[in-house]
Amino acid sequence: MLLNEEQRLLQQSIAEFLADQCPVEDIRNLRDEPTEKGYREELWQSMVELGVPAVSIAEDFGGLGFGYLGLGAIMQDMGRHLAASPMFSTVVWAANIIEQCASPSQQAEWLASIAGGEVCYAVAIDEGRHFDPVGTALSVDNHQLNGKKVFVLEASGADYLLILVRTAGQVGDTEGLRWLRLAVDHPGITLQRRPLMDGRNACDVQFEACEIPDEAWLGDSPAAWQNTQFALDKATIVLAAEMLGGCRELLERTVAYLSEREQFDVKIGSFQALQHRCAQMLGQLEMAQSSVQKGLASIDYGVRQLTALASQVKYLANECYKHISNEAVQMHGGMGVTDEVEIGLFLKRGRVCQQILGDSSYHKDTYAKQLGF
Amino acid sequence: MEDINAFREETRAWLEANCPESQRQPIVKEEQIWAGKNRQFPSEDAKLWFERMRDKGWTAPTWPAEYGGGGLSSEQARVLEKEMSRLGCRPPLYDLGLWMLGPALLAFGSEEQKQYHIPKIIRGEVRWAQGYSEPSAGSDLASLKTRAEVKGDHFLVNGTKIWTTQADKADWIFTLVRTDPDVPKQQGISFLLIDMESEGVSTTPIKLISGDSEFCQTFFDDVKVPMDNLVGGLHNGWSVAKELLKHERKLMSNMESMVQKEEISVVDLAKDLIGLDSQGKLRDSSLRSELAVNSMNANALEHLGERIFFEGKAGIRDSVLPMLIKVLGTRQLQAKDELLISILGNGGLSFDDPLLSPSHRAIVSNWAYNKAHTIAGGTSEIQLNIIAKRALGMPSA
Repeated sequence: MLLNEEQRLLQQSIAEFLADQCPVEDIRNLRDEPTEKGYREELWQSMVELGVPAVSIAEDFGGLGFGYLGLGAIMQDMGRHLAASPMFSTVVWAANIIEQCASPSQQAEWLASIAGGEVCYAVAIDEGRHFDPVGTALSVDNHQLNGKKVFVLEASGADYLLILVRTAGQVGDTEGLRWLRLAVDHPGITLQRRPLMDGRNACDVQFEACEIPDEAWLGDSPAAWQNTQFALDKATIVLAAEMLGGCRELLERTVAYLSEREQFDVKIGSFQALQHRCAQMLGQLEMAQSSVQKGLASIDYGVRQLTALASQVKYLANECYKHISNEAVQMHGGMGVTDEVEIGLFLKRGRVCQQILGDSSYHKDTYAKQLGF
Repeated sequence: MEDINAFREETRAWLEANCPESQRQPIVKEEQIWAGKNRQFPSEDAKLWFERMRDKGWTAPTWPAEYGGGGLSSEQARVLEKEMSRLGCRPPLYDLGLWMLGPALLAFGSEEQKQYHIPKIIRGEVRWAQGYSEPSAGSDLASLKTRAEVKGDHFLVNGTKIWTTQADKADWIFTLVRTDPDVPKQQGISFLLIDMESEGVSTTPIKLISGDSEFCQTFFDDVKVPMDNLVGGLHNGWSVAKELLKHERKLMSNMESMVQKEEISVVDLAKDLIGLDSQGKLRDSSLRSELAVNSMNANALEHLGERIFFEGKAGIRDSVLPMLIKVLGTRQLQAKDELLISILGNGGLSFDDPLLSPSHRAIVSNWAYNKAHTIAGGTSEIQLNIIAKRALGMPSA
């Protein structure tokens, strides 16, 4: 559950790089003056040069095979800096789906281009307000795709979309779901950019008489639902690592503020009412962190039944980010609600993350189902 | 790695061969084997299991073999613990000497003290009680007033100790006493071992909200205690106490796993009493959600424990994580108790209704008894103070 020496060195160098190259105020600039891609291209290119996209991809596919504990540590630092990049959608989310559901030849070609940082992906699952992959209704008729996906993160900067579609069964069935890979500029696809409160963006993706060539399907035949579930579980655990990076940064900033701010002629951090709330936050954070580490270590160990653990991890991370961000705003007093202070940027990122790959209701329900109640 | 696997194999085989079937059933309070001159065994199997474990030194797996301990590394001890829990083996021995005094004695005791007391603890021959708190010294323990005056070759002890767990059944008590009233409070305290049969020692049980009377008040009237019973040097008791407190906090959070074995799982109880709908979901959706959260938190605490273990193994000594265990573990235990009695509904409102099943009555009395966990061994509020100051470095007033 702890980093090995190699992973620790990697994490340190990325942490230093981000501290130097990726101040939190970047995200405010991106919000106020959006770039076409939704992130700073130079930052991503520097990360590619450092080999970051290759970190978790298997060596057979041109990756570095550093494992998920290493990847989680990097994502945690990205969470601390609110670093906007295609890292999560491409390297964590899409690469996992490709690894689990694509044919060997597709894997070889596509994963190598991800590891090399040559292409970016966006993943299209949601059709309604809430994450519900088995609720997918979008389907292909006569080799044509018509309909819509929503909340497709980082799609404006992506080269390809991975799209979950239904090829059989009823809405709600786990079987009959299959993945498509289409270029973003494929005829019939329109992106509508939707700004999000965290300074990043997601797109609504409209498909109109979109012709689907055979080679767009992942795998020669539909992969079992467990494969998709496994890919989503892994992505969920890594997302939680990013979220806890944000939580840790918030707690540290809050404690620092309380240790410096004076009222009634004393540091307000000496008040027991505030000390106890900070101590509670640390407890909540370390519980969640421990489960994230367990999740990352389980992936590295080759555990495939991860759904209950992934749901636990995401639930804990959701609640942690919600609680700590609310407390951080409150404890910063009036400054906490100004745009000038960066606390609010974390508050907003926390709420977006909460919806990605399932909110707390979704994960409590999934967890209970997994445990047979 | 290979060594530890070999140890696992051996341990598993030994436990399979030596733990009687009846000692693999969930432990119930009445059948716990407490140390002491008057220790009793509920059955021949229990006696056999205790003796076999004792003879291997596995009542104290990590203590040095020269005193009769198991001499295991922490990694081996963890394997033993896991293998025992896999088979459902009952703990072979219960005693505060084993959980608390022993580790402090190994750290601070003289060679004579170790040779005299440690083997007796391992062999379950002496039952220990703890004499720390006083009626007016609780969270502010260092303000304790029980006086030990040096009178030539002995101390003369006068005062009273409260929350002395099962002192009415104990053979010996380890105490914190004031040996110098004229210096700042932490500096005038000594750590003293007292034979409960000494003249002038008396004990009264205290009845609790759970109906139990495990805690007592112990009085010392002109009790003569040999100088040899001083541990860690004169006026140095606070350092010994701090070392020991670490073990108490670990113990309090371990209580969950020790108690858990007597209990029905919350989920099973809910399935049984509330039932599942046609989709296999619990009929009460709000309870279902609470159960999921409670179960996830329980797992997260286990993961925190594993992380602490791996940090220890990696030689990380400055971790803040162990400070969190007590407050989080006891809160989780109480949250589970509240869920359990709420599932019992109006069938969870009595300690002594003969129409309730014994297991349901146990849930109710545990619910009340476990209220003590967030108080004993440093209240949650004191824990949070410590976390804020030491783990987060927040300013003092």
